[in-house]
Amino acid sequence: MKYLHTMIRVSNLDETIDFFGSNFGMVETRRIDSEQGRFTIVFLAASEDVENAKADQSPVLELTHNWDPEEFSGGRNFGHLAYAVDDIYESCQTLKDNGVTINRPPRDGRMAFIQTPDGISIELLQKGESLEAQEPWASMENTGSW
Amino acid sequence: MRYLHTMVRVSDIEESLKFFGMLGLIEVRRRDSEKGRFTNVHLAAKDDVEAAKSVRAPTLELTHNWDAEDMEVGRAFGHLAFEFDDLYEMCQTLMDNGITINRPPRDGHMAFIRTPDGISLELLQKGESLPAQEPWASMENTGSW
Repeated sequence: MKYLHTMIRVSNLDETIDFFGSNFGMVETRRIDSEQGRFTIVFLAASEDVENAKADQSPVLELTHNWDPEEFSGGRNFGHLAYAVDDIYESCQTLKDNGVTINRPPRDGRMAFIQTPDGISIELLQKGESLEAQEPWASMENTGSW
Repeated sequence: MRYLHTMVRVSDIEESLKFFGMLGLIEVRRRDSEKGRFTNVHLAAKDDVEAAKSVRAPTLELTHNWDAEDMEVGRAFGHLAFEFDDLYEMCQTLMDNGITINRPPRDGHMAFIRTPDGISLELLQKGESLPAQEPWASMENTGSW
């Protein structure tokens, strides 16, 4: 038994691919368009997972876009997706420069939370040891929920 | 950048551990926070246990908040997917344990079930699909997933 993917529904496919691509460098590894089912499925892999994702189709994030509009409620049972990053300050700076709110800034040099355009929580964790506390992050307040 | 885990909230940790144990997920890490009033348990699929212990991924994180909360099911998150050596055997075990197979593996390839808290799980056959086989081939869908 082996983990394969987590699937999230997205209301705007291009916006979401851009979100994961330009902010995190996640790469599209597979795509299925179904005229009959009226949906598009896109698999994305984190940069360090691309090789595994191509060989084993794992671990990946599956985006499902239903062509007919549907309502997205948040739900409390699913929590978040987590990714390790090389430099959490650099990742958060890129996100901020791209206009993404850092809901939980990495005050501790270790952990941050943001949300996708559809409100999925993403946890970013510093690889290895926490970084030294550093402005502007150290004194940045939380924004909203995650 | 590297994938680490997906976190799901669970209302009853023991019930959830039993459920995921049935699927072959193994506890690799646990943290109880008296201050935060929560318990976190990381589970790994059998073939992922080694990686989960050395690089902490890929895992499924269960969060149990000690104070009761409403677990509504949203539409933004879809499902978690796992692959199995023998999908029929897995579904039989689940059925024997009283779990509804919402989408039976009629095609020898794919099934869907739900966790006790309503999270959809996609179960996929490893490699090629199995030949169609009863009782699965003619089993109807039940509910949604």
